[in-house]
Amino acid sequence: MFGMFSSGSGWKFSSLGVLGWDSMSMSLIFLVFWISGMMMMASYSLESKGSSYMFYSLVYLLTVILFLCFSIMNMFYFYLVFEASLIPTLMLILGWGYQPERLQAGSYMLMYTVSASLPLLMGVLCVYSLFGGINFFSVVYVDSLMTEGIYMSVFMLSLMLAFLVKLPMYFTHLWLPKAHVEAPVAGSMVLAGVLLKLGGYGLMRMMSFFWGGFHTVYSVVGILSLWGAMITSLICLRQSDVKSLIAYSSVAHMGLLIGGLMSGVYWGWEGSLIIMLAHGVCSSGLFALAGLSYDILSSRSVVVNKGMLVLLPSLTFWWFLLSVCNLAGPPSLNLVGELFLISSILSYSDYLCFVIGVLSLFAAGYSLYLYVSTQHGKVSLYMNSTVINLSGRVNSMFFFHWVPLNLIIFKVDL
Amino acid sequence: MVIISTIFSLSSGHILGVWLGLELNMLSFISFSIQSKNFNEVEAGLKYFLIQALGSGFWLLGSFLFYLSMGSWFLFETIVDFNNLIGLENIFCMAKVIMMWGLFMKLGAFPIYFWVPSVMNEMSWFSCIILATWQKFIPLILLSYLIGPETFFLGIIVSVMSSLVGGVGGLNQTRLRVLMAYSSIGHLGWMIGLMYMSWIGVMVYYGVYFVVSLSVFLFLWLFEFSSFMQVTGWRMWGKSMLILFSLNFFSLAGLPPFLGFMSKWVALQAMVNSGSYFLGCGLLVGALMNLYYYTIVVMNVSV
Repeated sequence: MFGMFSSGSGWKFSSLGVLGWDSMSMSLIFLVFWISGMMMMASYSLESKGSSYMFYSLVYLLTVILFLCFSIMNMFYFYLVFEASLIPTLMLILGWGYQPERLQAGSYMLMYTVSASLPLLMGVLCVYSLFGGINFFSVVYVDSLMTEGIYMSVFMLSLMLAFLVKLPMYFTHLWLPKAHVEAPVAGSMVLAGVLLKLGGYGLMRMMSFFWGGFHTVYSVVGILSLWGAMITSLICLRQSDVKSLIAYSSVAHMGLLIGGLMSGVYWGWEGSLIIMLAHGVCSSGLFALAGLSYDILSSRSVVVNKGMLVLLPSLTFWWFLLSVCNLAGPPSLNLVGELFLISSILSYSDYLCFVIGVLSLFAAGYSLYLYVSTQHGKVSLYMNSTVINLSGRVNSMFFFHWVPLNLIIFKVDL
Repeated sequence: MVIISTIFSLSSGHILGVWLGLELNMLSFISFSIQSKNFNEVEAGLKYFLIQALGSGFWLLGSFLFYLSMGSWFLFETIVDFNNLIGLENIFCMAKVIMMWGLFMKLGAFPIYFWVPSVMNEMSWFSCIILATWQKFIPLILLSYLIGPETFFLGIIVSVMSSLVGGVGGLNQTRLRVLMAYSSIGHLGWMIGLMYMSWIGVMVYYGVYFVVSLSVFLFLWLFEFSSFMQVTGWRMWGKSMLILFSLNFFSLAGLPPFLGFMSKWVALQAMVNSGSYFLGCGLLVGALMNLYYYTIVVMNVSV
């Protein structure tokens, strides 16, 4: 399906006035529609609670906004819909979240992303007045001499900051675990699956617009986020909240992505796109699993979520498959992406092999920790230990999460 | 009467005619804002009267100085020719600054903004609407005639500081009228700063601010909210009303997909085009703090 639009090795591009698509935006648009369908399947329990009408309208609205976001070529309109995607997400968290802390989480998310994206607005307006054009597909060849100097660095950084917060990079990630913990299942799925990728997409577009222009900022951002990713993977190991663990794991993966992207070579670029797709589907599936466990056990703590192999043997199967994908186990798209990224980072500097080694090791570590601590062990005394069968709807949802991860590997020239 | 005096003030060419219109406008506004004979409203009316009378006084003083330097009473038709003003430039600039000072006082911009929250706190919501929207109209128009490169620095300082004060002042407020007063100070800062860049921009900003803040105020008025304690009872009015309420606030904050963003866009575009990036950054910081306390209101509503 993805291959259809990228047959051959060409960089196909089709345009329709304001909207335009190349193979990068097309594959991300497929991701949007895929995840939206999964969101609806995962939130089936809302049907019985009677608030499903507004929920579905919000999901539709978000899907349309994200579709526009990935297909708009004009930088200013992109900023507009980029910010517009925040409102339905906020409504999802505020309206269907579980605890009162969701208010704090929502305002964290709003303040972090908006305060980082106002520099982007200034930057886009500056680009317009400096270069006279704000079309993504027109490339400005920036002389590397031009990017010396503190003002130019600040200008470049202001263009990237919004996306670095959205991704999120290590130092600006604090809103993400909060938002994930408080969001409903569908909210976390779209947040991890698509909204983070919006940041990666914007970063890649900005970098291709200023081809060769970011070198002063590249190194700082790339290395900071790689070290941040290493620290985050250590943080993951001491999380007791399943959703928070998955959220931190996505911070770690995105740190690797930024590192690869900032190495400035084509492999890093390709690897970023692949890992965006892979991580989008994979983390969305993990959040769906966590949400389902929460529906059954009413807890997200790893202390209570124990011995689910006894309670839900068929769910364990999906936990296993998706954890393996999360740690970049062999037949998965994540593996391809990480290999691309790691080789591009090593081409940038050999000294980073230590950081990458620790990062990959602990990525495997926390994925195993997530799997083992929830599936094995003794069932909590407070639980009825009767085997629960999963419905066909749930099984097919996880099947559709897992299939693209292990089939697209046959056609990775996206 | 408020409307008639506004038209009178803005259509007279003579400075003293403008002054007459300003005074008429103030008196008519006071007369309907204290209709209920509530003691608080009378106190608010008195505060408003003192400040506005002082502002008009400054305007009058400035206009005499203006006549002294220019030899003309006509603010709008006079072409300033600095060659004829040898020896009198200082007086001319002073006249301008004093007149602007009076207008800042009447608007409630940075140095003399203290009266706005305390007056709005004690007024009815309807008077608050008029005070925050319509009453800004005459001083803003008059200000646009006075600005020029020689007062650029003053205007920028007033603009950025108003925006910051509007942001900081509202941070810890629980009374919604005071909060809305600070928000109006913040928006005023944007308008004053924008005035140096683009006149059309100010009109767009003012128009958008008028519409958006009108809808926010009407919400608060119709549901008779005055503090956070009352806001939390949203379950009485349902989820769709809640969403409308929050969207109005986000629009006032200038978040992108809404109308309020358009004014911010116009303002920033004008500032970037004229190269004043730091003014834009200062105003954005103020706007962020505005957004923060609007968010607090919305969060309190949606508990």
